[in-house]
Amino acid sequence: MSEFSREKQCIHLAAVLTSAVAASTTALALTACGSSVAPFGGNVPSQVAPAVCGANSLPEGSVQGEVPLSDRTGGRSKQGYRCNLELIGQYQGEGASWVDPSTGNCAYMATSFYGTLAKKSPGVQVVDVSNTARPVLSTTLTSPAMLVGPWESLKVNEPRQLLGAVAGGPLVAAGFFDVYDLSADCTHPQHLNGLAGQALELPDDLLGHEGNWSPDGRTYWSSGLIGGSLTAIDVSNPQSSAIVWTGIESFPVNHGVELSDDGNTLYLATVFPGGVLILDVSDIQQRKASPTVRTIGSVSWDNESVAQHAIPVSYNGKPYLIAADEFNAEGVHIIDISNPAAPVVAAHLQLQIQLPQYAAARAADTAGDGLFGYEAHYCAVDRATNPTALACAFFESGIRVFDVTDLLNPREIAYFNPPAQTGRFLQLPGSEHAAGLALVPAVSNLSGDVLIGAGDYALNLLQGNDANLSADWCSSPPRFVAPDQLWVTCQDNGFMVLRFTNGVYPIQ
Amino acid sequence: MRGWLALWGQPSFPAAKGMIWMLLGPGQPGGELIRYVAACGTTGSTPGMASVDELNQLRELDGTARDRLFLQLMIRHHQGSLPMARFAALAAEHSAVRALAGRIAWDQAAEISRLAGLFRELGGGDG
Repeated sequence: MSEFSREKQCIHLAAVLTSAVAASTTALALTACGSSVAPFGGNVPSQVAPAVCGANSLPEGSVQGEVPLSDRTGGRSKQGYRCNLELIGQYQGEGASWVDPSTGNCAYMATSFYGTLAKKSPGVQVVDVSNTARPVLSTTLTSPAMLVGPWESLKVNEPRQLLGAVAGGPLVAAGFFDVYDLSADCTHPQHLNGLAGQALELPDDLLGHEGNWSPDGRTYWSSGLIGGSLTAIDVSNPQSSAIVWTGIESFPVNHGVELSDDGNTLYLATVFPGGVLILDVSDIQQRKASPTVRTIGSVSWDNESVAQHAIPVSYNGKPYLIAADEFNAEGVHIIDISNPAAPVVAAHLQLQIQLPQYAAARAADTAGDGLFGYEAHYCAVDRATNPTALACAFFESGIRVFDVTDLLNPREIAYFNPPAQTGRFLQLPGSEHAAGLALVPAVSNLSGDVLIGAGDYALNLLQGNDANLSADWCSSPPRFVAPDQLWVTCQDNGFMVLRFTNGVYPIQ
Repeated sequence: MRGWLALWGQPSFPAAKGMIWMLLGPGQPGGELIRYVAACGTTGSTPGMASVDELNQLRELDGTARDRLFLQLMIRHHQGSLPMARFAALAAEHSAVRALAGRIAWDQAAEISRLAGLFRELGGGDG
């Protein structure tokens, strides 16, 4: 399983895409394989110093980030692993999907399209966290995008207290954008845009997969993955949300969206190669009559990888991006964007298990547990200006927290990898891990033979294997809640309130 | 076109807005060209581009009304591109760019004819 080829990886994506959309998408996905861009091969260090675990920890083994095969088969992984973080409250429900935001005393758990029919409680789960020790289900959101699953597009805009999402469905879906008002009571969001009387309809030129708000909350950006589809929705008046621009950026595939504080610059994560495309979207932010999106610069690091999103931060005025990548054990890249026309990878953050010498262990550990192994997915900082801590969801390595007071030399301070939900497949239809992309082989190691790759897929699909759930999938952005909490959602364990211990955070 | 620009290390869109560059061709610019550059103004947008409101109107319409508006917007868009394509077909430095521009002008003119025919068939008059 450890010797896969670039060609096989291309088949991986093609198979996933074609399971959800038209066969023509295969050609789109495969065109990515011919790229001649040299992979990033700089001399920046990659491994991060492991956390030193204090009292009441339940540490993982000798390799940072690993849930060893023996722990999976012997049941140890069902206890979970923790280091300088403790669990103080949880709402598991029926599991959660890729991206599940929280704001105020509320958390929102997206749902898997694949588990829709099996769920007792349909749509997005609204969790009331007024009592952090006992988070409870408050209500569910069942408008179109929320019902079929918002994939990675469920996002909160803090200034306007809006919750927005596009329909993602099985991977990509069309036409629906839903926006809710949280300002009166975040435990009971109010749906603001019904389908009647607005310009969004099915099918239209809005493809949904990823998405995010402009910081002022007046624009919601939807990136549609396939073809590099990118759409800007004017939400100035949520009741009459309307498309203001649609185009193609980062063909053949694009991904997560983040924006500068002023909303004029868009950082678009790219796929094949994994990287970031920096776009001038000021025409749209300023609502110019015939807007044009201009490329400012780009950077990439791996022809075979999938960047997820890239958070803009600054240190004493010097701007950087922190970019998580969800394929090929790439981890997180720190990008210096002092000159946005020529971004530079300044540091590379990988857990020890992501290093090349552990490829065989990765393959053995994660076999049978679905598409993602020890990959990074979504990160968050405690503040955008001079951040001190970075928390990332690393799928089967759980939640990892790093001291980034020296951004180019991050060091781990804590982790929490929740108990594996082995055997609870039927109780978790809201989890993509349990109900969704469980049938396909892992993407941690991408090199080998194209025919073997295709054969793996055929075999898995024919056998209808369930994921073995021998480690959870943590994929949602953590949230720092002052003074010492971290709110997280993992797919099988659902929403969890964690608290730092042993004085590791706040960082003095 | 993006591929060529990438190979030449050039951005996909010029930094300066407006179409003043079209007056830099060989010889004196003709009346059509001067009118075109003036119509473009300094917005960087070519005449004939559909506005955001027009595109949303298109999304909201149904049936024949939607088809008619699409044809009208597309005819106007194509007409707006012809002066630029004709200019480049004559004045571009590289023969490959001249050839491409000539083909664009030819194709857009042919499509305008076809779009206008469809518009008449839908009872839209002469567009």
